[in-house]
Parts: sequence; C-alpha cells; structure tokens
Amino acid sequence: MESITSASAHEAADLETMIQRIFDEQLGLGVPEAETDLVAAGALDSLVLVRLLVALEEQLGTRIALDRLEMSDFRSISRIARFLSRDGNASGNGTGR
Amino acid sequence: MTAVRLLPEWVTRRAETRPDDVAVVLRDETVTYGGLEERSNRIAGLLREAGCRYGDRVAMLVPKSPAALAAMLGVYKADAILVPLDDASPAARLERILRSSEPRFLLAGGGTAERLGELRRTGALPAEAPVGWIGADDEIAGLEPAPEFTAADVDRQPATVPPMRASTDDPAHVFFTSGSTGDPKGVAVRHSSVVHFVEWGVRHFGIAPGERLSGHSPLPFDLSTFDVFGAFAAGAELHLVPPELNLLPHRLLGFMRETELTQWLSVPSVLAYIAGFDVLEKGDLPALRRLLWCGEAFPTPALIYWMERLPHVAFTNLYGPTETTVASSYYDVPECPHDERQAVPIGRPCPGEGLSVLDRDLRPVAPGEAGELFIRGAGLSPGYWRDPRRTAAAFLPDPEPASGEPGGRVYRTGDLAWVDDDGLFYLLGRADSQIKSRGYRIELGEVETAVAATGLTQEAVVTAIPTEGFEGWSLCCAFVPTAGRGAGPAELRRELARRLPAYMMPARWLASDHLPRNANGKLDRKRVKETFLDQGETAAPAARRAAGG
Repeated sequence: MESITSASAHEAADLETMIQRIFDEQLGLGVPEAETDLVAAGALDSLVLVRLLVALEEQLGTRIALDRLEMSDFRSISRIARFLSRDGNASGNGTGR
Repeated sequence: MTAVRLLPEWVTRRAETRPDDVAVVLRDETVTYGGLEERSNRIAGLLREAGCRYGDRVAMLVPKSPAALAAMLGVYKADAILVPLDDASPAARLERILRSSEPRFLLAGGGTAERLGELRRTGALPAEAPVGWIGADDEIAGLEPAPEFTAADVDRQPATVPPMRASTDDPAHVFFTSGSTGDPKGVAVRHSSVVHFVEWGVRHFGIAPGERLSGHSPLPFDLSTFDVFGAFAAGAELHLVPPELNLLPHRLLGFMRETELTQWLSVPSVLAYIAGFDVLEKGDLPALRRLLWCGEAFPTPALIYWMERLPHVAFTNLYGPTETTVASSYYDVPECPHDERQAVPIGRPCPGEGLSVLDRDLRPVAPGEAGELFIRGAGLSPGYWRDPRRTAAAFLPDPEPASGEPGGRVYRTGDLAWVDDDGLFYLLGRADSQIKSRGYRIELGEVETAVAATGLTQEAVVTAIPTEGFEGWSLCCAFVPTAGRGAGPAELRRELARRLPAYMMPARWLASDHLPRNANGKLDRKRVKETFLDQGETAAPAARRAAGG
C-alpha cells in the first residue's frame, strides 16, 4: 500500500481537475464524479483510451509508462490521478512539442 | 469417413475418438470435446422438449465462453437457426433484431441478467418468447417472468440426442449487421458455406490437431466462425481471449505469449493498436505459426512492424463480407513489404468462389481498371432475413453464369476494386457510405438515423474520415442542436449510447448553428467532411514518439 503525503494528495487533486477537463472538452464525455466507474459507464474503449493517453502526455509534458497500465488504474478519474502521481508512472522531461 | 455436412459434426466426431482433448479454454475454465458434445446434446434435447422445431430461431445472449459454445451447438442440434446477440448493443438495437428474427427462445447467461430484465421491461423481448437461463442460478433471482428453464434442467437431460433433420443448405445462423436505414440486416449463413470455407482454411493453413488458436472476435460476428469451427474441424484448442484484456496491449501480448498460441486471427485494428504501443519484441511469440486478419485494411506500416519482428510467422490477409461467409479471397504475404505506401492485395479467390470487377453495366473491366467487386460461389448467403427487397438488390443473377454456383447469383459487395495482370485483386474503397472502424461494419446511415431519433438535433451529418490511428476510420458528427434544447456533444453522446453500440459512437463532434449547404440547398456532406479533415488528428502515443513528436 503506498502512502500518500499531503504534497502528492494536493497534486492528485489538481490532476483530477485536469483529467475531468480532458474528458469534458477533448473527449466529449461528461463524467459526473471523480469516483464514477468509467468501465461500468461504458465510457472507456480503445479509442477513448488512446486519445486520453495522448492528451495526458501532452498536458503533463511527460511520458506515461504504458507497460505499467492496468485497467484498475483507469477505472475512475481519481484512480487515473493516483496512477499518474505514483513514482515512475509519468516521468521524465517531456520531449518538446 | 463421410463428408461433414452440418456444423456440430466436427465436435461429435472428435468426441467419439478423442473425448478428453481440450476443445475450449477461457481463463481457468477448460472444456473437452467430450464435455462439449454432452453439454450441447443436453441443451438440444431441452430445446426440442420445450417445443423448438426445425427452422425456429433461437437467440443467444451469452458472452463468449465454453457455455456459449455449448449453447450454439445445442441450437444447431435442435435443427434451429442461431441468432447470436451482441451484449454490447443497447436494448433498443437488440429489440430491432428480436423483432426481425422472432425467436422461439432466447438463451441467456453469464452476466446478462440485467440486460435481460431491460429487454423484458421495454417489451423488446415479447412474452411469447421464453427465456432459457444457462448461467448461474443466483444471477436471475427476481427475473420476471421466471425463465422457462435453467441450467439444472439442462443437467437433467440425457447426454445423447436424436440426429438432426436439417440439411446442409439450411441456414445455420443469422448475423445481424449495420443497416443504412437504422434497422440491422440479418445475413443468413448456410451450414454448407461454413463447411466449405472451414475445410479449405484448415487444409490451406495446415491447422493441426492440438494447436492453440485464438478466439478474439465476439460470437455475433462472422469472423468468429473460423475461430470456432476451424478449431473444431482441426481438433485444435480454442483459447478465448478474455475481453478485459482488449484495452491493454501489453496484456494482450502477454496472453498470446503465455498461451503459446499457434494461430492468431482478428480484425487488423487490434494488431495496429498493439503496434501503436510498441510492445512487440523481435523474435517474440516463438510458438506462433500464422497470423491472419480479416474485416478491414491492415495499414501497411503496422503490417511491416509485425512482419519485421516475427520472421518465423506466416502472414495472411483474408477478405470477404458476412454475405459471402467469413472470407472469399486470401493473400499469403510473401515477404515484408518494402514500402509503407504499398497496398496489400486481397489476393485470389478461395477455391469454389469467384471474384469479378464489373462496371455499371455489370460487364467485366480490364485489368488495371477500377470497378465494383462482385463475389460468386460456395460462400453466398441465401439472402437477408425476411427482406426480399434488399436481398434482390444485393444478390443478382450472375452476369457470367458459367463460372458460378448452381442457380447463378453474384453478391454485389459495394467495394471498389481492381485486378492486376497476375490475377491479384486490390481494394480501392467503398461505393457507398459504409465504413469499417476497428473492424466493425458501420453504415453511416444507421448512425445518422439514431442521431435524428434522439430529438436533440435539428439536423445532423455523420461522416467518416480516414485516420492513421489504429481504428482506420474515425466517425464524425456535425449537428445543429434543437432550438431551445441546447444539447452539446456530451448529452447527444449519452442519448446515442441508448441506441447504438459503443463502436458506432462518433469520436468527433461539431455543434454549430448551421451546416454547410451546396448550391441546390442540400446538405454539403463533402464540406462537413473537409472541416473534420482540417482539424487534424491524434496518433497513438508510441507512434508519436517514434515519429519524434
């Protein structure tokens, strides 16, 4: 079980807002809450996932460790935020775009 | 050994000689040929006892699983026609399919209780169609009305069943595909057409007993026919790919590695998806003997990606619509293409089938010239279920009768094609507004009809643009929101999800106060398409990295 410091909890909350906006504005998918189960809502398919990953990498300016991806990490906006703020999952300097 | 004439026979024969051979695997559940034979016999017996008669339809709402395959075989053995239902389709769409096919029974199981309840509540499933529940009992507590029979009733049936009276030219199943006016079209498929293709496939690819074949395509889709019956005809093991792995390319690959699959067959977009994430290694998948794809174009860059890394594997392109049974032409790719822009041909006709490129007057065009592709031969469907008008429009008298099937028909594919001097066929595109996205056949008209039905738009255009992304084509919807309602894309999408499966959902939206019109005042679809094209696109993360972006 990882422990979340107050600093990374704050970071996670910022991430949640960013992810929510990506869903709303770029993916055209209104997600009611950070805890909404995306899989159960049928919101997550291969197309959405690819576009979400691209948008996240762009906005964070980082690379996402794709081989560490598990469906459980992407089931809700809050889980996505936690995944991204864990060490090593979204890291490195973004390549300039 | 007499020739196989009906689809359940392969399993019956294998169960006689090698009952303990593995037939189907899904996660930790394994079923042998003997087990599959017994289970399907019991289901057939129960269906007959419950009043199922020769020619009745039996719909099936059971996710891809050993239970679903036993149910499938059981339906055939009861001399009935199988109508597999796609659990991904919303109730409204399933309702249309049920209305058209009028099944005598609906077999359900495996997590579909909620969907079943929905179908009953909305009246999509008429009271006269009894439901047989072949899943776990606790899932259907409280289902109104209670199922006609359950798994326990199946267990009480004898393990043997009287012989089938259906004949080889009778329909085995009906696959419902996208219909341009909003109603799905049911393509009837004969036992004989499947037997013909499967026997050729097993011979041509040299599929051996005990091999491990992938089962990726869902059962309501035509491609699954070769997974299932190719495995059974060869005496191989069918390893169903758990659907939860589909979004995660490294997990899909992990499955292929750990299962030591000898054959992979799928729509190309799955392979393009995996290539986009760059998770395949050089010399990966040592057990794999062949990689087959069908259902849409495999982008050459992605094909090169796979062929470069798997030099030990044989790669084959299969082409053919559901109307001509799995595939009607094939191309064994002789070597890795050198040029990313090179088109991969759809190849030559399968034995017993024929391809012709014809002009508007149904006369053959010269090699190198474009025309519409027509198919004749052993794979032809008898037609669309209870739709003589559409059947007559698509299945025509053969303009070159000497080379065709008895009764001489051809199927007009709507695909534009040309043939080269060596007799190799190439696809050019569509003559109409049908597209393939992620391997799914989608009539733009079906999506547009559904958009209009939401009531949230004054007018709308659904178009598709080609994309370099793995999905092949990207669905786009431009619309004028209904005045005073002010619905945006998110709300429209939500409403649409009640009518269409997720794979038919537009990926891009444009809400506007007006849509472009041409000089005649008609909606200018071309302009709408251009607008979306101008917006640019996103590529898969790894592909962007590879491109240095």
